[in-house]
Formats: sequence, structure tokens, C-alpha cells
Amino acid sequence: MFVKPDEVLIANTFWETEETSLYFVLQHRKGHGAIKGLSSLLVGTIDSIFDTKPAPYRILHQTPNSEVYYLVACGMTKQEILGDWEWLFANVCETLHSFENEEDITEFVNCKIESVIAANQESEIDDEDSKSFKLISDKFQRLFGLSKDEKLVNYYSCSYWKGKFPRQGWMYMSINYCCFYAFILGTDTKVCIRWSEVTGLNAKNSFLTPDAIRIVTREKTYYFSMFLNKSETLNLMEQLIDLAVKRLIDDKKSYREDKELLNKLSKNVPKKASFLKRDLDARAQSEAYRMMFRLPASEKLDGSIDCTLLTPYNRKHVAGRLFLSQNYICFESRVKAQVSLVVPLRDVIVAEKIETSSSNQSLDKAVIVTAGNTLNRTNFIFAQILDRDFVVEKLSELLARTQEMKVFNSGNSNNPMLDTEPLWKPQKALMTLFPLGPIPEVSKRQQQKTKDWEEHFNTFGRGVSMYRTTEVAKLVLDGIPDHLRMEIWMSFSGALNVKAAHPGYYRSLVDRALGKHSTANDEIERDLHRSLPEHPAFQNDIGIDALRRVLCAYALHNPSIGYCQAMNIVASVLLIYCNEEEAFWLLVTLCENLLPDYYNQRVVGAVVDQGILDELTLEYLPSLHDKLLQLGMMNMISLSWFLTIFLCVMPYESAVNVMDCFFYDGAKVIFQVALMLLEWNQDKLLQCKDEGEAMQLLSEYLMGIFNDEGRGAIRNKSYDEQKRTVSIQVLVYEAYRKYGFLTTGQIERLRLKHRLRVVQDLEDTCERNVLRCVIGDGYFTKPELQELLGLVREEIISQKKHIPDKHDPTLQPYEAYKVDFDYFKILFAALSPWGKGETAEHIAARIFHLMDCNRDGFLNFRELTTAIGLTSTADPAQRLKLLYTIHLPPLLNMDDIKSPVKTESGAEIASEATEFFTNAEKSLEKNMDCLSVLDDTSPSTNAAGFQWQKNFTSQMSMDNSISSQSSITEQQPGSSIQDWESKSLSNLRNLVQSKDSKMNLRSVPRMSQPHFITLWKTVCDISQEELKNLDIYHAIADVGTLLLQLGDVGKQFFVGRDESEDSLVSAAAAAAACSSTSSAGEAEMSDKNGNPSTPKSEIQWYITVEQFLATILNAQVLVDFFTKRSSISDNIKVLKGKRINRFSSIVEVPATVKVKN
Amino acid sequence: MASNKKVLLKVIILGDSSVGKTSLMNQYVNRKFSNQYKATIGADFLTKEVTIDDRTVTMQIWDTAGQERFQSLGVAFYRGADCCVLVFDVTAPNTFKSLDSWRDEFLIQAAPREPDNFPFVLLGNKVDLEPRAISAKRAQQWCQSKNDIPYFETSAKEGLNVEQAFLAIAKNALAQQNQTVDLYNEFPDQIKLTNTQRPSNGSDSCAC
Ligand SMILES: Nc1nc2c(ncn2[C@@H]2O[C@H](COP(=O)(O)OP(=O)(O)OP(=O)(O)O)[C@@H](O)[C@H]2O)c(=O)[nH]1
Ligand SMILES: [Mg+2]
Repeated sequence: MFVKPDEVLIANTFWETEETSLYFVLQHRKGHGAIKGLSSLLVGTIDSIFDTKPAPYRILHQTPNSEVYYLVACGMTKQEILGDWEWLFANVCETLHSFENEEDITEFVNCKIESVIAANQESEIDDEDSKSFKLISDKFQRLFGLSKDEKLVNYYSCSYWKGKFPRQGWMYMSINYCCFYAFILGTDTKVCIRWSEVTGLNAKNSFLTPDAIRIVTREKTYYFSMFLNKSETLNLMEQLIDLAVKRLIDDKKSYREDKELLNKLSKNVPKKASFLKRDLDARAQSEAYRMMFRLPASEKLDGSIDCTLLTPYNRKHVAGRLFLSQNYICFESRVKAQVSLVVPLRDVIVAEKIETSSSNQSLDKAVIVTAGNTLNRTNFIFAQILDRDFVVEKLSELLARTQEMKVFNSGNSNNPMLDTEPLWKPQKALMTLFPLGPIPEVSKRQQQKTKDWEEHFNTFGRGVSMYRTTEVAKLVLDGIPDHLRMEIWMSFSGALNVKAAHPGYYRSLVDRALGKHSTANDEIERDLHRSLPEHPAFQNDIGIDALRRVLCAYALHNPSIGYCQAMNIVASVLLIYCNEEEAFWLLVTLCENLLPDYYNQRVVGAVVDQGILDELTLEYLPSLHDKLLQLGMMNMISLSWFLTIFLCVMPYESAVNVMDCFFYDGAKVIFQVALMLLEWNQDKLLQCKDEGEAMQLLSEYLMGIFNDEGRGAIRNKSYDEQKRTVSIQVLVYEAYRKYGFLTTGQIERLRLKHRLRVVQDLEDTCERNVLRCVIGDGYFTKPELQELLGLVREEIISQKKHIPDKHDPTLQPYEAYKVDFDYFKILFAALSPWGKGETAEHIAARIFHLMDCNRDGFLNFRELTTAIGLTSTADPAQRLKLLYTIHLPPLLNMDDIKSPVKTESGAEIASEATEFFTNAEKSLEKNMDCLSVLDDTSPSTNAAGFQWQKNFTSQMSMDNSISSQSSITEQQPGSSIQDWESKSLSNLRNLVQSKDSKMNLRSVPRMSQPHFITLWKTVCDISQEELKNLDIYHAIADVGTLLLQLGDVGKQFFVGRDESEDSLVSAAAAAAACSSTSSAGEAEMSDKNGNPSTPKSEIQWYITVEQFLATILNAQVLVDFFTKRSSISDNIKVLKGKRINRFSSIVEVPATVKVKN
Repeated sequence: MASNKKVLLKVIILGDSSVGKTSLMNQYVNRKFSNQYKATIGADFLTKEVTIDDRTVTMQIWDTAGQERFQSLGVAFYRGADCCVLVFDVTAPNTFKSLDSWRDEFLIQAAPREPDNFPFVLLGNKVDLEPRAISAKRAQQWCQSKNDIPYFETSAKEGLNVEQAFLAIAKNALAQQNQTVDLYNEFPDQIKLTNTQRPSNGSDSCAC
């Protein structure tokens, strides 16, 4: 690769010249390649410690009379550099001779190279990382055998503590891995941790490793220290782990680079770190920004700048910071909670500079933003903006864009409304239709509150762009009056912003969702009447229909959540106070922003927050924490608290006040209220003797929380005066007074930590379930299974394939861990003793075929363990049964035998096997006629195959007839070849896996000679390593010969038996004949009645599985061979040591097998 | 065991969503059916005092959430259960199919000493409704295959067989507890009773 020409002063110190021409030198780095010696060692070490990391090859340009060298190209491989070298000769060198002046030559070379680079850069837009960073990224991928996609995010110098000794080296972080590499004086230390395997991360100080970062995985704990910038490193780690964890929760959340950011940053941001790192930083900042101002998830922070805001309500200039993103201008005061402001650009009419008279210092460098419509305008004045011109320019650019969008959207959403009469009309807030009986005091109170709010609107503004101060917080704490709830919830929660961004979306969702059949819709239907049955609106179709629309629309909008119980309760309360579409958007905001992952397949979010409540209780109510732990209470009580925001545990009219604060302040409110409730009940809870008592105590307390300011029609009946406990206003107020110090940021940090734990626990549970299902099969021990499962999991994650939902209840747990044939091949080769020979791939294919029950091209984990277990740990009889079975049709068909020579190695096997038999013949003279049989078979293979099939079918029908008499008829005409194949496969499968032999063995099909010969070749092949052992060699020859002879003896039996068979067999034979006529290849074998016309003499050779087993089990050496239990743990280690490249051929997989008895 | 000793039985009700667990529990405890129950979120709980063979026992009945995604959450209280009631809806075949998984999950989480002999009772609910999807015979077969679990056909709506079923549940639970009670003889009186129904002022119930 060509690089921007750069002067090089020392051309030869660490470099060795490979080629020279008049103007160019090609060099490679000392210490790279085969040369070993002190100097190479040192170079390696220096590279690794100082991270100078030059590429190992380079081309320098120099003119004969100059001292200065220019670096013009460098390369990671010799091939690459030679490519550049040749290019120079073809394109540059010729021209150079025409220059007279050496300086001109250099000038020309540099120009040429730069233009080449520029041309290349245009073609790859993502080529944003600096060259040196690229090289490091390459080095990182090479060191750890990772693919090119695994881009480096950043790297840090640090120490890794291996035992008591620190190793100084480099930590590399990519999206999926955290790696460490040290190379000091000849020994290298490598650590490679997958982020998704991390179960714990913290900064830890200990005596031995002060100021260290600790990373815990299931297997091991790692300590790293001596970071230059520990907090940055830790932050990045947290961020990457969280990305990995979120991906485990939902694989749609996988990380994607933000190319837009790339364009933006490439203009004016210094390219220090990698693009990915910048991307991640930007993400983190945007997330914080969105969280702070409750903005939609798509909003990306563009920039921020210090300024002041004129606050008209007190005529002051408040210092703070201005934030800009595509759709919003936001402001946050420097003094916390003094004032904040969100101005959606969609509302902005104009933004311009204020030309100030020099007298007014405070309005220096000011910008005025005018929002609203022609009737009602509001001005926002920001001043002291240092880079005012830039801000204004940016603002008008953004405004122009929003204006375009507005036009586009309004054109869009109008049309369908006019065309047809809609099938449904969005419901107005249900409280307007179902007003609860007025109570004079309550009405008065509500009026008073409304007045307060109106006043507030007058001074601080209304809607999203209200000046948000502690004044409004006070009003919210007091409970929002019913008819203002929708407006205020919408603007504070940010739901209004999302709604504004999606005009017409809700209607189209509902139209699509309603008629749909889905599990979610069924579940919703069941719960419609079980949501808020106490409210008259939901004893009526009006309420029920609206609820159905909102929930079904949401299920369609976010299928990864679908419908979760508790959403029905939340939604019905929303519908009481809000119009239908608003209720929908509030639900969206609640499910996706405020309570992330709460309602997904495993309610992960709620469990995470449960963990946080547990931690907070431990901190603030330690003695109660112990008690709750002892009672096992925490998860019992808090799940319903979190999932319904208290709506189902308190009278909803009380809980709705918590909701007011929740939409204003976020999830932290739930924790404050929960802690307050626990604190107030602490003494009584401490007295409780069992969890039942405690449950009852709390549930009665919560049900007694009253709201005298609600319209409260329900209040008088279901919870009478005597059960009243505390008023909701007091509860909310006290919760803020005592626990108001909790911040959203704090909760988010805690969520990060607990999410990691919860998700890893879920993973563990999944794996435990898998192991529980599989361990009973008895092929492997638990640790072995764990390791194997680890391999499979690793493979699934690294291939970024769609992971079947681990939590899908309709699937067995092991279904989530599947391998395809490519990977099975690798595992089989590495783990199974039968995987070493040249036929390994064929054996693997047939075993795969046999085990793949549902024929989806994957083996689930259980099938996988069975497949490998049957060849490596099962008892010899079982292994032999498998061996026998995989050489029967339909696994091994005549076609395969006829041309077994599919690959070159196949040819070798065949010839080797023949050779083997020939050798055997020489040593054992009685083999003569067997071998002639062997030669005879080829012309008659079709016949034999067909006959075999017939036998097999008849066997099958006999089996069936034992269990049910009617099965014969099922075998009749309708059965196609495919049917036959899958049936016989499942029969074979049962047979192989069953351990009780006697009955089963008799039902195993007999084997024809060609099949047997292939089988015996396989035996030779899998025992290849042992063939040096003469005993085995002879045993194989002997037994093979014996079996061939037995087959001949069978001839006579078969004749006898055939004639004596009862009608069942002939019926079955007829059936087989029927099915076979449909296959063209075999039609010729039948006469016109469809009866097989194969001459008997050719078809009579066969052996049975009993004969096969008995003969082999008689030869002790072979029994020993088939009894050896290979240690898959060792093999897995070998396999892990060599990172598997999926596309490398099977031969490259290490063939080291340790065998223990 | 002396008959005057008071006993607390812990009963867990499991089954798919909307099979009628909450309705059954309330029908038994409060003798009334209401179609005003919310779907259960988390867990709920009622107690009832019954007399069995001259002994007064308090049944602590735990009602659970049925939706699949809640299945393995908040299962801490499975431990120490004396009987597990499995409920399905005779008109909804899927609720019958999930019985195995509910049973397995319970056995894993509760980890009783003798999983094979742990008392389960199966209730086929909503027999007042037509058409039926699961016949009594089929349900009984399932019960037989699980070590002869007692089976009752109930209707929470009509109060049909509910009393009998819960009596059998109580008896089975008691039998189970008697088997293991020796282990706990040191603290025979550790369990205090609360009122039959929800006490009228719950906040006082712990002042003892
Ligand atoms: N016809 C009839 N309906 C019943 C019967 N039992 C319950 N239902 C109705 O079935 C629905 C579900 O009953 P619930 O008791 O809430 O069901 P659940 O098992 O507690 O459901 P989850 O709390 O979601 O797990 C309600 O609408 C009940 O009115 C019954 O015996 N007959
Ligand atoms: Mg319920």
C-alpha cells in the first residue's frame, strides 16, 4: 500500500534491503521472518513495548546523490509489497529517466504517489483511520487470529498480571474482544476475552495490584493495571460490554457503524483515535444528551457550546450550555436543575442574530430563536455564544432540513384520510366519556390546581418548550389535574416528539394489526377484560376496543416485545387520561426509553431494576435487606411494582400520581417510592415470620394508599376508610424528600452493572437447562458437555448467525445451540476418533444425516453430543451398531458405492482398501474366493441395492406390525421414496440410540455385500493409526474375511427363509416394489406386474448385525479399539488453541488425539 | 401429631395465563366468582383456615402469573411448598400441553426431597364452557402417567367441585407435611396464624 511520502532518516538500522533499483529500495524489517538471534529478538521487543509497529515491508525512494530517503509504500506481506514494487516499475520508472534534475524526480515521485493515494481513498469511504492505526489494527487481527471485520476500537498500554507477575504490553479492544499481548524477550503472553463472556467488571484496588481493572469471566479472573488513563479505559470497556450484553438480550441490537458520523467527523475533528472509538464516544454522548432532554432514540448530538439563556420569568441571564441536534435545540443551566429548555426545530419559525448596541453587554453575541405559529409566538434568546456565526449557520442548515421534512410529511398523511371512511375512529380520553361521579371537594381542588398550572404556563411557557424549573417540579409532585395529564405527560416524557416524527403511523399500524392472527393478539384478547375492570370504561366495548387497538398496534410495532402482561394495565390507565394515539405514543416511550427491556421475552429490564432495588435497600435499609433476603421476598414484591408502576398494587387513582412524576423524572421515581414504602413498613416487616405474612402486610398497605384529590368514585367501595394507610401525596412528597438524591445517571450506571449480571445469569440458566436435557444421554460428563457447549456457543456468536430464541418456550432448550455441517465436520474431525482418517468427511456426512431428525441442515446440541458420543464414548456394541447403520441405505446408497471415488483422497482410500485386502490375501490363503466375490459385485450393484431396499422395507413392516397391525396399510401405495427414506432414517436412529439390544437387533436390516465392503474399508480407515500394531492389522483382516464367509453362508439361509416367510412379508415386498417403480432407475428391475425380477443368485449374500457384532466382539483387539474412550476435553483444548477458521479445510485441524482407556 | 397443633400448608397454583387460577383461588377462599380480576402480575396470595380430620390447618395459597415470560421469575416461594396445584382450561388445548413444563419447572425450582412423590393435583377448569377440547379421559391418562396425580374437573364460575378439589389439595399437602414433619419437630409452633380471610386491618396483624 502506498503511503504519503515521508522522509526517513535512518534507512538501515532495523531494516534489511531485499531489492534495489536506481531510485527505489525494497526492505524488510529485521526480526521479521526466519532470522533469529539477539537483534531480531530485540527488535520484536522494542516494537511491542513502544508500539512503533512499522509494517514489516517497505519501499523507500532515494535519488543517487541524495541523503534523504522517502518512505513511499509499506506492506504487511511480501506479496503486497512486491505488487507495489512492480507497479512502480511499470508506471513510474520509465518516466523518471527523462528528468534531468534529481529534485524533479523526487518531486514527481511524491506527486505520483500522492495522487494514487487520493484516488484510492475516494473509492473507500470508510478508510478513515489513520494509516498507523490501520497497521495496529492489522497486527491485532493477526496476533489473535481474528477476521478482517474485527476492527480495532482502541489500544492501551498496560500490565497484565499473570499470577504475581505483571507483564507490560498492550491491551487491544475491538467490538467483540478484549485482548492483551506482551512480547518480552522471547516469550509472548496472549489473552483474548470475548466481551459477551464477561460476567463482571470493576476497578479494584488490592495490595498486589493497585489501581487495577478486574475482568471476570466464567472461567477466570483477569487483572490489568498501569493504565495511563484508567477511567477512559474503564468507560470504553463498560460501553463495549454493554453493547455485547444488549446483543445477548436482543440480537437485532448488534452494533453497526454510523457512516453519517463518519462524514461529519471527517470534516473538522482531529483523527486521533480510531473511527470506531470516535463513533462509540459519539454514541455515548448522544445517549446522555437524549436521556437528559428525553429525545427520541434517533436523535444524535451534533455539538454543544457555552452560552447564556435569557429567562423572561425572572429577567435573568442563566449560564449554561446549548446543545444542537438534527431536530432540537436544548439548553441546560450550569447550576443543576436551575432551568432547562427543549425547543423542537419543527416549532421554530426563524433563528437569527441579534445586532446589539454596545450598551447591552449581556446580549452580546446573541441569537434569537422564534417558535410557535403566527398567532402565538415565543422567543428564546441565547447570548454570549463565542462562535455565533457557526451556530447560526448550523441552525439555518438544520431548519431548512426540518422545513423540507414538514412539507414532505404533510403531503403524505393527508391523502388516505379523505379517500375512504375509516373503519375506526381514535378514541378520546375515556374520562371524558365516563366521567366519575363528581365530588364537590375534589372538583374544587382540581379547579384550584388547574389555576395554578395556568399561571405557570403564563410565566414559563407551555408545551415541550416550557422553561423547566423547580417550579414545575413542585406542581408535578402535587399531582397533575386530570385534564392536563395528557398534555404534560406527552411533553415531559418526550412522547410528543416521537409522535411528531411519525405522523399517520399509528393509524396504519392499527389497520395492519387488527385483523392479524398472532400469539400476541391472542394473548391481548384474553387480557382485555382483565386490565382495569373496576373502571366503567372497561366494562364497555368503547374502552375495550380502544385498548385492543393500542396493544395490538404496539405488538406489531415492536415484535421483540409483542405483548407482555402488565402492559394492558398501563395502557388502560393511559387511555383513561389520554386520547388513543397519545396513549399509544406514551406506551412506546415508556416501553422503549423509560423502562428499557422491561417487557421483553424474559422481562430482563424489570429483573435488572429489581437487582438495583435490592442493592439500594442494602445500602439504605441494611437490616431490612437481610430480612427480605431471608424471606426471599424481593423479587416477589417488586416485579409487580416495577412492571405496572404500582398501578396494579395501589388503587390506580393513587398510583397515577406516581406516574405523573415518572413521566417527568424517569424511572428513578419508582425506586424512590419503593424505598419509602419499604422504610415505612420496615418495623412491621422485621417482625414477620414468613413471606406470606410479609406479602400480605405490604399488599394491604399499598391497597390502602388513598388519593382524596382523585375523582375517586371507586374509592368508597373497594377500600373503605378503615383500610386507608397513607395519602399518595404524602408518599410522593416524602419519597422525594428522603430519596430524591437518586439521580437518573446513577440509576443508569447501576442498570449497566446489573444488566450484565442478569443477562449472564439468564445465559447460565439456559445452558443449565441444555445440560440437564443432554446429560441423561450419558455420553459425556458434565464438564465435557460444558466445554462442548462453550465451543458451540462461541461458534454461534462468532458467525453472527441468527440465534434461535433461547427463550422460545415451544422449543427444547438445546434447540438454541445448533451447528451446521461445516462446523460439525470440524468438531467431528477434532473430537471423534473416527474423524482422523481419509473417509472422515464421508462418515461425518452420514452421521450428520442420520442425526438430523428434523432435516433442517443443523444438528441441535443434543443431536451433536449423540453423534460424537456414539463414536467416542459409547460402549463398543453401540459404536459398532452405528458403524453398521451408517453403511446401510438410505445413508449409504448404491450410487455412493459405485463411485466412491468422488475425491482424490477417496481414490486413495479405495485403492488402499483393495491393497489391504490383497495383502490380507497374501498372508491368509483362504481369502481367495472372497476376493473374487469382491470383484464380482460391481456389475450387480444396482440389483443388490434394490434387493437391499426390499429387504429393509419388509423388515420395517414387520416391526410395525408388532406394534400396530394397521401399519401395513400405511405402507401401501401412497408411500413415496422420500417417506420411506425418512421413516427408515428414524428407525435407524432409534436403533442406534437404544441400548436394549436383543429385540432391536433382530429388526436391523441385513447388509449386502457391496455395503459391507465399504463398511470394512471404513473400519480400516478409522483404525489407520493403529494399523502399525500388527495385532489389529491381522484382526481386521481375519474378521473381515470371516464376515465375508458368513455372508456366503447366509445365502442358503436366505433362500430358505424367503420361501417360508408369511404373507406379511410378501405384502411388504409388494409395497416396496410399488414405491420403487416410481424411481426411474429401478423400473427396469421389475417386470410388468411390478414384481422384482432380480435373479436370486446375485442377491443372496448378506450379513446381519448380530453376525457383525458377534464376530467383531470376539476379537479382543478390536473390542479394545472400540472401547477406548477418547478424552474430548483434551481435544477441545487443542481445538481451542488453534482458532478455527471456518473455511479452512478439515485437514488443517490438528489431528492430535490422546486416547485413554 | 396432636390434633390441637396448628399447621400451615403452603400451596402453589400454576398454569397458563387465563386458565382461571385467580378465579379458583378466590372462589375457594371467598366463595364468590367475579369477572373483575386483573391478570396476575408477579404473585398474589390468600389464606384460608380449614378443618381436616379434626385438625385446623391454615392454607396459604399462592397464585402466580401465567404468561410464559414470567415462568421462571420470582419462583423463590416455590420452596417449602406442600402441594402444587396445576390448572388447565378444558376448552384450550394449549393450556393442557404446557402442564409438563409447569410441572418440570416446579420440581426444579422447588427441589423437593422426593420429586417423584411430591403431591400435585390437577384441575381441569371451566367445565361450564363448551366446546371442550380436552376430555376427562385424556387428562386422567396424563395424571396416571405422572404417578397417579388426583384430577378434578372444576368451574370457578359455578363453584363446581372447587371445594372438593381444595379439600383434596389440603389433604395431600398435609400428608406430605406429615412425612417430613419430624425434621421440623424442634419448632412445631413456629407458624402463627392469620385470619381466614384477609384480615380487616392488616396493619395490625403483625403487632403480635
Ligand atoms: N366460564 C368460565 N370462565 C372462567 C372460569 N374461571 C375463570 N374464568 C374466566 O377466565 C378468565 C381468566 O381467569 P383468571 O382467574 O384471571 O385466570 P388466571 O389463571 O389467574 O390468569 P393469569 O393471572 O393471567 O395467570 C377470566 O375472564 C375469568 O372470568 C370458569 O370456571 N368458567
Ligand atoms: Mg391470575
